[in-house]
Amino acid sequence: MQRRRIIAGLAAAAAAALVLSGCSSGSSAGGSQSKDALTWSMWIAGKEDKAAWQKVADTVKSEDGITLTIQGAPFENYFTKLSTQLSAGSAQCVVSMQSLRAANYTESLLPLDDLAKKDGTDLSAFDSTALDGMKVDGKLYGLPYDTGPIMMFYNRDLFKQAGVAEPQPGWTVDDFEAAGAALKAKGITEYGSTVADLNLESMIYGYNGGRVITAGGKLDASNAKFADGLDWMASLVKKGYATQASSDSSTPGNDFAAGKVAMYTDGPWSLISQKAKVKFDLGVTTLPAGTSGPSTFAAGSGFGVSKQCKYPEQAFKAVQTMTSEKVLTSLAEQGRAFPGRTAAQAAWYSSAGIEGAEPALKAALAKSSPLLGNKQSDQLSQLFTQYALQAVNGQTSGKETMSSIAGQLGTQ
Amino acid sequence: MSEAVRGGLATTSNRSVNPRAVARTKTAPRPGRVRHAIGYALLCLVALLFVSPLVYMVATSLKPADQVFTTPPTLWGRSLEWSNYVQAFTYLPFARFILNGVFVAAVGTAINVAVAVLSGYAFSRLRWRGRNTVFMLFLVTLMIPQDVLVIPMYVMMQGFGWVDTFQALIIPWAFTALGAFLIRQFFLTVPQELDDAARVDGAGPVRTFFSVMMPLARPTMAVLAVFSFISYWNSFLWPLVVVNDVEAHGTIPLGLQQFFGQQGSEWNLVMAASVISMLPTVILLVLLQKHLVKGIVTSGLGGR
Amino acid sequence: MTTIQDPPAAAAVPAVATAVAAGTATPNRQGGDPGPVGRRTWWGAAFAAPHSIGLVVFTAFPIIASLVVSFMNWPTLGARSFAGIENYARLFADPVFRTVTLNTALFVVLYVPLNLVVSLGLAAWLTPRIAGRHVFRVLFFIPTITPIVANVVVWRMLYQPGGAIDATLQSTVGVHAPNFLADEHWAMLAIVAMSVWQGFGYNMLIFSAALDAVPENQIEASQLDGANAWQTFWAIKFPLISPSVFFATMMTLITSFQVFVQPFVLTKGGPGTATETLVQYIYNTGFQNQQLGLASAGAWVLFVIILGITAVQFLGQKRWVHYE
Repeated sequence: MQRRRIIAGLAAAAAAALVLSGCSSGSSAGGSQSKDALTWSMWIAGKEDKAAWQKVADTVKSEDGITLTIQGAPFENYFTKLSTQLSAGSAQCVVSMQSLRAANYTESLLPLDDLAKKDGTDLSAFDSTALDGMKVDGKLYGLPYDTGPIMMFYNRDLFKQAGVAEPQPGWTVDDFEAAGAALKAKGITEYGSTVADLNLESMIYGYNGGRVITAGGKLDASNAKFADGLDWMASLVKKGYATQASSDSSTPGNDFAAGKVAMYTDGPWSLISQKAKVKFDLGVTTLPAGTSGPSTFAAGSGFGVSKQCKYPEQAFKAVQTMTSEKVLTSLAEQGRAFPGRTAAQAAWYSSAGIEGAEPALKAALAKSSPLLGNKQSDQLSQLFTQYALQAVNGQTSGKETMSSIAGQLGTQ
Repeated sequence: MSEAVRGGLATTSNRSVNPRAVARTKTAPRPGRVRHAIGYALLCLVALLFVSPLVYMVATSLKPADQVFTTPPTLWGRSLEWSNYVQAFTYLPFARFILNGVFVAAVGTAINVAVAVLSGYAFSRLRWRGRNTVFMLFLVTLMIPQDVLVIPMYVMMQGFGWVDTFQALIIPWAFTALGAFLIRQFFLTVPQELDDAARVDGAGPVRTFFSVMMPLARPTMAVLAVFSFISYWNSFLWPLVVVNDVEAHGTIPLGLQQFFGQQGSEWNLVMAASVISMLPTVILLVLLQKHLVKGIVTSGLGGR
Repeated sequence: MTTIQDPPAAAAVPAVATAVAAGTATPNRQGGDPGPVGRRTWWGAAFAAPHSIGLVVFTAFPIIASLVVSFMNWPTLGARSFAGIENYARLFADPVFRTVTLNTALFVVLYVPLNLVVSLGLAAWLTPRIAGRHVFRVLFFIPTITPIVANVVVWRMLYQPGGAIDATLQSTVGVHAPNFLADEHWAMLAIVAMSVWQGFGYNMLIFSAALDAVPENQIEASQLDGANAWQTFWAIKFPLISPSVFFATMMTLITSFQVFVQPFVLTKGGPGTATETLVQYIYNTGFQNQQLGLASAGAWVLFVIILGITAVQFLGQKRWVHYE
């Protein structure tokens, strides 16, 4: 009894000590910001990732004298967390934002146009698609750091094995389907189907120009062309050129890496990591072009300043440094992000080391439109996973699917 | 129905040796043994079936990155990548997550067991006004879904200044009512004579509790400790919402998510990390198994 | 030490106490003489205080707050206003809400009996005569502690086209398995199967321990009387473990109404809304559509449903739960 009391006491003391140390580290993060010490929220995956972003933060320290504390969250859950923090008034000063979602956060992000004008920022040095992605209703909500059109990644070895010519940038839907038939004859599935919003919308946009979010950012869920696009994707599955769609958005990428499918859609942000993972020769090309010519959607990310920030000018200064040519070039050299600054893009091409990447990306960028976000984009993405799955797998028609989706978007 | 059978048994025991029973015992052993062996083999087969997903999990954790999702699924990749386990620790500050998780779960469990022992005792051995009403309310709180509480709780953490601290991870969930229920059930099985004996010895309620009652409740406390530990260990939504500095305060489920980046996911490392994360609970389980069984029985969850 | 006759008075206490817990017994029937400690003192309140205060602060308070929020129009970012019962009206008028409630009910109806049957069956199988039963028990318990992330990988591998089930069917019978997770007729069943695999360990452990406590001589006596294992189980063992069956059923019901993670990670609620559950609906409304008022209203509807079902259970227990 005596000994147990002592052990219990010691344990309690140790617990208290750790709690206190946790206490002190807790009070320094989140909340206590000053002119020279700001917080920055970012999605982080792993130590390497963190180290790379820490280097960016260090650059800000040396150039602007501002200490940036990174508060990372896993990418999957970043926006859930951000919403919670914003609603509770405890958001960070510098906020990483995706172009797809900027429209959801216009109430919480500071429009940067005035600050940019005051500071004389040269906005034209940024890639126009990237910059437009950060704009909502004409107002700029963040400076872009990366951008990327959706492309088609393909397995060079499988194509060679089947004796099919490699796809060239600007290839058409007919070329795509012909290749599908040839690959199928050799027992290879051509395409990994997807219902992830960005990829699905890009494929259909390329097929016939159908889009559920108009160029003005409005939701058009009953767009007939889009429904036709869904039917086309279903036909691919039916003919055996494509796999059945799965609700897990990482499935096409996994299937591709495992050699199960010969191609799938993804953005340049995944290119380097896929290249490192796969054991075959990786190639990249544009999406198959249909009736409205080559076209694809581009998405990107950037850094904004939250309205809750007490030091917006300092935050903007930090953001400018974070998207400066020096930093973006360095990130590009590490193969991390396809830069949103035109001048830095050359560095990315040389470090990527993928044959044919440069002409493919350039061709795609030339014909890409930014996928605009909308207040209901998150809901749309969820609904695609639930309903578009049925369409692509041939259980419902494109029209039925879109009317179900439209119905749900309307009620909420 | 049981009364009828037991009535029948009572009469049986009064009779002289039942010739049927004797005949049965004479012929029972041989077919019984074969049947037992077959039954055991079947059990092993069923166990294998149930355990096969776990085997697949471990096998996947040893695969090279590009072979995690081969079709048709294979058990082994081209090589056994033990390096995945090492990489799980270098890719993420995984050791830190384990440490954080153990700390949060241990402290939280300790608090949970401590308050539950006290209140369970109060609900069973002590009489006080409003006791039954309060106990009913405790039971009602068991039915509240956790997801409902997340946002109001977050706002409260802000008010206390506890966002991104260990306190926020530990304290809100240290008061779940399940413990009070289990402990109360146990104490109801303790004979009143022990209270009386302690009273005769001159012990007040506090001494009675600490010297006599609490030591008896150890098995039930073990049950509560295991359930509580597992609950803390696997909790995801709350740590996600309340932790900002993932490296300093992140627990394992939160940490596992970091393997899924915007630039692609490291599935083989995820599996390795998952296997590692199961170890502490398995160890806890093995160590406490005897106590667990005794605790479940005496907490009144058993038949008697 | 037990006899075939009625157990001694001391063991009557748990039965009565459980009855009190069930709220069906009057408070006066406490086993034994209370004595000075049994007098109404303030010690009881003092002992229960830490736990009660904790619950009030960290459970009662937030749940009341969420009740208040449920009567308001509360977007995550933006202006808030009072909305009266508008949120509840919207919920009951929304066909998706009805669908998800039915889906949740379907899950419960499929999952709870299956879980209980599997856990009771395995617990009954693992009698003390089985060698190495401790090992079996730990093995069967491990699925409950596996991280959901890892479970998803394995079960997707099982269910997907080209996965283990499909490949096995192909090689043995020559037919393709349905795409379980994308087929609206199979998706819920697939999720129930995975949930049972993951969840039955808790109940199995409880039942196994409870069965261990059944007096050996009662079992022997019934076997002498000519009853086989099946009859022995239902006549002797089951009535004696019925309190633990009641507890397990109650807890399993409560948690199964709150099912969210398994369908969300396996199918995200699809195909269509075939596997979308009530908690996923609440989660989407709150974290995706950013309507906290509506989400809180949904959560309270769920809470009331669970309360109702549990109350029915408590009322019904007299008929089948066998207290000594």
